Amino acid sequence: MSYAYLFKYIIIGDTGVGKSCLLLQFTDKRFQPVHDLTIGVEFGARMITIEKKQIKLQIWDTAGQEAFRSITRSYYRGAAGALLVYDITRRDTFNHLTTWLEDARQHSNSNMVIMLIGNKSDLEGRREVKKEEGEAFAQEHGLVFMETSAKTADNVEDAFINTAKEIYDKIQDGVFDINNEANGIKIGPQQANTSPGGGNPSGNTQSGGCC
Amino acid sequence: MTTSAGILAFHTREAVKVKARVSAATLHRRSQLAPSDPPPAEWRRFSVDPQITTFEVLQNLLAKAFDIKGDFTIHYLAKDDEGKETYLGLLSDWDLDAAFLSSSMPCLNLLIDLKPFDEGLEGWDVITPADLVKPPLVSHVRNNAQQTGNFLMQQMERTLKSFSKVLRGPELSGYLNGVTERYRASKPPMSRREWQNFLDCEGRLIQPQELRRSVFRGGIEPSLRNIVWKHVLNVYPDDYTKDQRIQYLKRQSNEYYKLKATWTDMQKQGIVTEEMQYIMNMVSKDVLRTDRTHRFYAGSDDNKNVAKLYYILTTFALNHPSVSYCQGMSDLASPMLVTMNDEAQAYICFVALMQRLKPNFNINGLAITEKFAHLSLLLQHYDPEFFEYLKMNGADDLLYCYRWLLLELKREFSFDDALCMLEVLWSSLPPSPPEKELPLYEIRFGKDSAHPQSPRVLTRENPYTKVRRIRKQSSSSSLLCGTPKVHNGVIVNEPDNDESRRSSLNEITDDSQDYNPISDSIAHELRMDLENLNKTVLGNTKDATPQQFTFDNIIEEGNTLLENDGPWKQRKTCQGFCGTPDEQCELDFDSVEGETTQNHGSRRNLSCQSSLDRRRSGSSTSASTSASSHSDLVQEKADDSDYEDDHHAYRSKAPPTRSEGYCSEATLSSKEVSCQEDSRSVLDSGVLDFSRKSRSLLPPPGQLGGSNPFMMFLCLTLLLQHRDVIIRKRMDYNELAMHFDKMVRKHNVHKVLHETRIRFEEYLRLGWEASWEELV
Ligand SMILES: Nc1nc2c(ncn2[C@@H]2O[C@H](COP(=O)(O)OP(=O)(O)O)[C@@H](O)[C@H]2O)c(=O)[nH]1
Ligand SMILES: [Mg+2]
Repeated sequence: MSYAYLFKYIIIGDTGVGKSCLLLQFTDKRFQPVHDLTIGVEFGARMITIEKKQIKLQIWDTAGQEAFRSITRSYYRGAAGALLVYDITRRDTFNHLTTWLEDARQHSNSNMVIMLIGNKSDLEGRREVKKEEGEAFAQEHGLVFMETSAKTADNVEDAFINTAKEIYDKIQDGVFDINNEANGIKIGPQQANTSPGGGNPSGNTQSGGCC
Repeated sequence: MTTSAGILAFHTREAVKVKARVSAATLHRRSQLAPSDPPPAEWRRFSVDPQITTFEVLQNLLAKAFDIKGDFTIHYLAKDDEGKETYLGLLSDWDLDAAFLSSSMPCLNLLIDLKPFDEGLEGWDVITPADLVKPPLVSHVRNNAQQTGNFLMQQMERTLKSFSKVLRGPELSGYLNGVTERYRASKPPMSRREWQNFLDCEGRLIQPQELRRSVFRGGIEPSLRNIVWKHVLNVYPDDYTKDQRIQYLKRQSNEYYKLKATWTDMQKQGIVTEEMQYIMNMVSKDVLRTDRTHRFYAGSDDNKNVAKLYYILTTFALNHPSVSYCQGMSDLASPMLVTMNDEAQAYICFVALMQRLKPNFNINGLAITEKFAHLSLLLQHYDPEFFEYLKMNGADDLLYCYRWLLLELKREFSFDDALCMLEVLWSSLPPSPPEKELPLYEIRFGKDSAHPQSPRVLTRENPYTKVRRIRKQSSSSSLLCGTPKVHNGVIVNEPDNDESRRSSLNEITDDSQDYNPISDSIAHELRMDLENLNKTVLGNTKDATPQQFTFDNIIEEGNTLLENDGPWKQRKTCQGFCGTPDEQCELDFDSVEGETTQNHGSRRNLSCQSSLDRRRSGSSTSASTSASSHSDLVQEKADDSDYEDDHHAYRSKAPPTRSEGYCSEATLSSKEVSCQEDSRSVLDSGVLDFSRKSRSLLPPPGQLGGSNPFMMFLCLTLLLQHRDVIIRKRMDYNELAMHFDKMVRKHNVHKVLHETRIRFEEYLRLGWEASWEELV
């Protein structure tokens, strides 16, 4: 399928916070309470539309395994967006956010858009982390924030799409060099020969076409 | 099978000779329908380029060659593992690949049948919706009722799966229907009777090699797994009698329950150390996400078996501080519990397995990094074109194979198929029984034990600081040290003072060196990580005395076993699982009485493979009559002189070579090192003999995949089975990774094992010692 842009996302956060469920809800629109724990990386993709432009999202869902993370730094590289997820019913997953953020910032490009997500909002009765705390953390670190439920699908769509919008805006503002694939953005195949929508100051798009 | 160079030659061969003819039945029918038509000439000969000839192209070529207007089917002449010639259906690109790979030396022999499949192929399960309730048909397996039952059930499941795959997309169609049966192992699964042949009168296992060879070739009957797995997993020290095994298992089981009681009692008393808390949290989260769709673990979260898995893993983690708990372990322990259906015995088996797999979970990632590097070498060697394709797409990092490597492919097959794959894999390894008793703990966990050496304890407060420290070490060490060379996936490094380097590494804390982006190529990254392997790997290879690898035993004259066992007589199988070690061992020593098992109350209804199968088979035994329906195809044997030559060559295959004394790092000559540097030009020029070339480029069996070469070949097979689809659809990194993700639990175990055995055996025949030159 043709697309104007392709963005690469990663989903990070402690194990069990619902990363895989968020991905499944976004790509397949379903919640599977019984599923496999992630080993390494799992991959997903979906097409979305922003300002009438087709955008393909490639999503890498990672596992929290230290051993895996130690063999590759590459999954951060070339990501345009990241969903940093914690579980609102488990404070420790919130406490680890700083580490995750440091790790992400250190190994990704500086323009990567990071969306902070407090997941499992359907479990209000078991909440351990207040919404305001999430907001404050996001504010402090310059992140976008949302609470979601992979179970009820609440805000899931928005979380992924708003992240894409941010990235799109950055492209429009010329912040992202879309010709550098290390930024996690590719121009769609058919777009390669024409000027990309929006004022990209670096102008030259010849190298943007991939296959 | 082909001559030894055949398989290896395949991917660099530019042309494959093809001979095709129309089947006698077709000719007969034609002449009846239109007697005036002259029958078409018997043979057509032509050559095709295996790299670019797709199934569709072949169809077109044949249609032209024989001037066929309507539908027709293609079969190719192949030899099964016993050397029997059979015409196999050629229905897809997969089949064509298999045909090129295994049956194209000296030429690919094709048979054309103008009948459409549904008329003439009673022996093949062609999937149509109506077929779903009809038991698929069986060929060339000598069944007893039990086997038929198992088999039919598996077939049914597979048929259903295949069918849903058909609905999902044509690219998966290669997995369906007739394929499954064709790739059945060369030998029926090990039966109780066969098992008995490996024991002496006191129940000692007298032929551990033979046992492994048999399991490697055909797997184990499900009802016998709980007994034989313990042997293949190296639970028992050598030469134990039946009585000794009973005593041993009793002792070990008691030991396990003590280890378990230590921490569960502490927990009851409200003493929960930080380490316990961390491990219990992790494990409890993960056992709820492990094989829950399998009947054994299904249902609500308080399933008793889920709890047992939790106890096993937590006990292991607390008593093995060097690895503690890591994700992935639950997947490895799960089959043990299902198969043993006994918590303590599952623990013992898991400990035995982890003896070998521990390094994979080391936080430094070195063992896995080495496996990535080796898989990459294999792929470059066996399919440079596909490797090139992956490289172009930045997918040569093979990250999507991580799960395969970590779980030894356990999740790539349906649960029951994985059991079969795993036992075959384990038995491909040389026996390595514990010297005395298998130690059930590294450091016994207790109230006052703190394990400062446990990496997880260090990471607990901040789970990723450790990772970052290791990253720092890797990049700094590659900055500090000279550049070691990677050769054959082994790190070749100038002698260096390890001690001084180690201490200097620990001092490096400068964050600026944490990340060292050389280039975008992930291959570079792997290489960097590889550089850090040198200490470990070099250390190992230097110290390693040549291990008594006996891979070649696996492939020698396997038929003898089959004959020994005579016809696979019908036998009653064990009813249910036994709960305690003694009872277990009664079974172990397969006496006639052992076959009727004591009733264990509630334990009995725990889902038990054999009883389930028996129930199923009760309703479907009638289908066993169709077992010979394959024969009309088998009869169609070519009577061509070329073929006879080929046959002859097959008989006089190269003598098996010993695999001890592998070419280790220490024996690498400078010649070979430089050979690595020009590997590309060597490959391209085709100057060297294949086997010489192969040998110089591939790590020897004792090193490949951390001494698990068969597993690496399994991974290679999975990659190669999908290469056509991937290339044809021009999948990019994400698409092909998703493609492999979707194949989780869906690979065809028989096809994969079949293809892997062929490649693996060819690899072993390369001759891994000085004698390799004789092959040239
Ligand atoms: N109630 C609820 N449960 C969730 C939600 N998301 C995930 N879960 C559960 O949390 C557990 C872990 O989810 P998973 O996606 O595997 O976590 P991951 O390790 O971050 O990938 C699973 O058992 C899910 O059923 C959610 O939004 N609401
Ligand atoms: Mg996950």
